[in-house]
Amino acid sequence: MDFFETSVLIVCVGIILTMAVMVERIWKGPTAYDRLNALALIGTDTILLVVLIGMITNQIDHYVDIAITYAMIGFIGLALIAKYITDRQIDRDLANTGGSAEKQEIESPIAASADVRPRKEADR
Amino acid sequence: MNQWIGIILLFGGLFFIVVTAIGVVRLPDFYTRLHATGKSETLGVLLSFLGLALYHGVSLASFKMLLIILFILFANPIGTHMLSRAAFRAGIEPWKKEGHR
Repeated sequence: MDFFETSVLIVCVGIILTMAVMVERIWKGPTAYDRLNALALIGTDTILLVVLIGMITNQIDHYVDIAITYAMIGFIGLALIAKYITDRQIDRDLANTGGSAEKQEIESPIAASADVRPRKEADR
Repeated sequence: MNQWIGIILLFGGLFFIVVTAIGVVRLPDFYTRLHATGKSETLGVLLSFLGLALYHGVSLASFKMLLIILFILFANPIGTHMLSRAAFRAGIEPWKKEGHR
């Protein structure tokens, strides 16, 4: 085993430890967005890990294609889940205010003056 | 010579990825954690792939690694921005120090 393979193995172990540390954020993240953020990070690290394993086993021509596919599918999944969570939250707000969220914000002067700031009563 | 530069870049990328993990676990707020995600993780993965491509030399696999670099350079900040916009619309307040209102 030459020097390069040893250093690639060290980087592999470091990335796996990094992913294990970020599982803690998935476990006790206060919001769903924290969990999604850490999950996307683990997905990005997995791309690098796949290519490193391909360098170790001398099959880089196959593993690079797997890495490209994994990157694209991971990005599409992140986009879909983020959009799904946003739409679900907006639907719930509209249902709570009886379908007239804009009207209520205009009626109360505090909300009209501070409409840039996010709402406090939302689900965390 | 190129291989030594590749190994150095690989370890530089590992450093930034470890910094990202520390930031994601220890920073106090969702938006500050996104700060660690959007910049540091992108730079770490980018440096690592650049080192691997330099080590491997000119081939089709290196070209595909450069394609992965290009994709991550666009996709990672876009995903971070989508997450932050979703969280802001859902009403998560940014973190503030005590006494700063």
